[in-house]
Amino acid sequence: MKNIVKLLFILFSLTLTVQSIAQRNIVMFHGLGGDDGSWRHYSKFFLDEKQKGINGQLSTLGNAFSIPTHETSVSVNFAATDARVKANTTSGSFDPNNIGIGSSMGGFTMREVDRQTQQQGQPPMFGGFITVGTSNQDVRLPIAYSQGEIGNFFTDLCQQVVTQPIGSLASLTSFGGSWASMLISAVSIRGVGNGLCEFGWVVTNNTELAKSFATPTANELVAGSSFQQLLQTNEGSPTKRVTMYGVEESPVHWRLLSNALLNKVPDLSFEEEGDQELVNIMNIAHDIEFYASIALGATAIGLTVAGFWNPWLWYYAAGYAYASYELYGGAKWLEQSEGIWNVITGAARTESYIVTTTMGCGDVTDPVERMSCMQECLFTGNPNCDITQEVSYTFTSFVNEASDGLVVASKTGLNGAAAVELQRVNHFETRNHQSTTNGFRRILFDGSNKNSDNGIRIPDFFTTP
Amino acid sequence: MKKLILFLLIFSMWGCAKDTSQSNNEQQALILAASSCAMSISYDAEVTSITQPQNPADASKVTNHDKVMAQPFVKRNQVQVCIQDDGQSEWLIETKKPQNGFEPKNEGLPDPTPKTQTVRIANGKMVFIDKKGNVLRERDFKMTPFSTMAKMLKQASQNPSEMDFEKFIADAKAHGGMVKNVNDHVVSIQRNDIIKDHSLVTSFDIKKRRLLSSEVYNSEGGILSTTLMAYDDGKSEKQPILKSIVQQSYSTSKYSGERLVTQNVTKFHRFDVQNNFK
Repeated sequence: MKNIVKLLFILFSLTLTVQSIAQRNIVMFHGLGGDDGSWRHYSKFFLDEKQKGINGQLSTLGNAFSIPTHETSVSVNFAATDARVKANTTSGSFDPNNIGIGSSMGGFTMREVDRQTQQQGQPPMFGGFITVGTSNQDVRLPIAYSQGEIGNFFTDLCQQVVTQPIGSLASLTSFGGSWASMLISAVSIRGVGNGLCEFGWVVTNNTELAKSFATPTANELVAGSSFQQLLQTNEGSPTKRVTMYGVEESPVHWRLLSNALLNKVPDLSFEEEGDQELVNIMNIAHDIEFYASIALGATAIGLTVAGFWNPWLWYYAAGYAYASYELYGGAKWLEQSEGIWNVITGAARTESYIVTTTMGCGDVTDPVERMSCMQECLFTGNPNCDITQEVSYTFTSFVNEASDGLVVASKTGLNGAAAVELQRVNHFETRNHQSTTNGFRRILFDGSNKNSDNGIRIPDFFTTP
Repeated sequence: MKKLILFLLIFSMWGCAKDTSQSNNEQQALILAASSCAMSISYDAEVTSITQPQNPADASKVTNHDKVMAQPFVKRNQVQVCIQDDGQSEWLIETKKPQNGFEPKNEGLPDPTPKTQTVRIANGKMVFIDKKGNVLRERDFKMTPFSTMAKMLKQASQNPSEMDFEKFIADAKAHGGMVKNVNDHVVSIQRNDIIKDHSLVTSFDIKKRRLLSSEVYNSEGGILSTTLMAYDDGKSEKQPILKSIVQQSYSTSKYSGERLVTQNVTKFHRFDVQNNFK
């Protein structure tokens, strides 16, 4: 009898196991500019996890953005309808046990699919979804693109870091040559001279991006838009939800652009990062410009003093001082460029800040008049003339918010949804990074740890088995 | 036991002192002693840079992109330069924490990449060193010799009478320079042959033998940059001691189309230039 009970217990346990490893499909929605191969690193990852119940990648569903024939009528709504049509041709696409994963703009498409199926009473494509790097609450970048802000950023990069400093060094009759050749070598990328200047051309002439960011797409994703309101009508949907978002290390923009332009994520091996290349290039360019500016400035200072003995040296002093400040401007732009990029992506919050600084004729508000005032003060020979009085003034300070370089972390949340933070991950790296792998393991396979980073419990639905 | 503690205390203090001393020696070993230089330049300088609209009435027209650049950009450097008799030079540049610094807040993850804190240029090499003393990069770098300056300072030392302002102004006129007497002690000279494709206006105090300002114009006559030099009057009798430099340059924002002014204020906290050219 005991043996029979034992046998029954074993059979019952086996039945439970068989039931629990019933395989579930992953339905992936790629983002802008993506394709079926965008998530290929994780297709393999999910296949490797097959024994745990995931049936690998069922299908990667595109959206209208990658269909050139629809560029004039492009919309997330259309992309979702299109995805449903494509899914119809694949067996197992519609199952409440499926897990949807939507990357970036694909997250919007996936949410819209959920809204359409729920509201039309159609069989759901998935019972729960994970948005990865989707700016669910507000998207600023397409507007910034259409208003030329991204183009301006790259034009500034070329002018401030490359052409102006090199031009000013070239204007010096001597001394500038060694610095100029060093700088020219630093700003070439992989042997392409003027590589930094070509970045702008690559980005602003990318017809896919231009099409993708074209209105009305841009307008329909901003906070408060009619499309955002439409998605909110689906908040009561029973579909379980988790958001994943990347938080990249500073400087977020150079890391993002390293992966966008130099080491494209799909071309890397699994969990290879490749986000440091542009950071290093910019650091070298910065150091050359910064220290060259100090060296030229010190030369100008030495010559200014030496002019006391031989006034002909003053001409050289003036030339070196001019070049020094042009180079300083390049280094300054590089250090402040992350803030400008964050304004473009919406990852910069403003605060009011009071600072004490030195400024001559501080009571004169017009900067040109202030300079004339200081010059006049110096020319009078008045020994009390102090062109660097201490003054306090208020300015707008910018706080760099946590972001993946394109999407602001604070704008990825969904009402009531658990959130998982992916550290050291930029927008492109979400498709291939150790942190993303850990994030998926945490949501899908780690039944013991269901706490998310915003304190909301990860729904048991996602745990497999 | 008490003796042991006292011994350990003294030993540890000696250890600290030794470390400091080693560190100082290392620093001094980085550069030739100032006394062996034909010219030495040494100073601490804090530079504050601010960009704002040229017309204050346009403040509301500038975009947030422009306002990012309007945040104070403050750097402090310690510079030591030794120029030898043949014009060859050695350099040590260290970045320091500014007294009135400003760093924008970052709520994301910090940059883990080590940053350059010191640059040393000597013996045909430029070495970038981080705050821990690790060499980040090393480049072959031949600093252009200061041969012209060496020659001109030797000339001044040997024939001081040749250095008077009458000759200097006559020479400027001979080279097509335009000379203007601003007042009884300030003269401005405009020359178009100093900076390629630019016009340069320099103003001097001919009584105190000081350069007061320089302005750079483009070929269309548009102002690009103005630089003003202020001196420590109490210490500038034998030679000028710089107190501060204010430089202003102009640009047009690509985001707002507004004309912007960048002002760089350099304040010297320690200034020493020794001229031993003979």
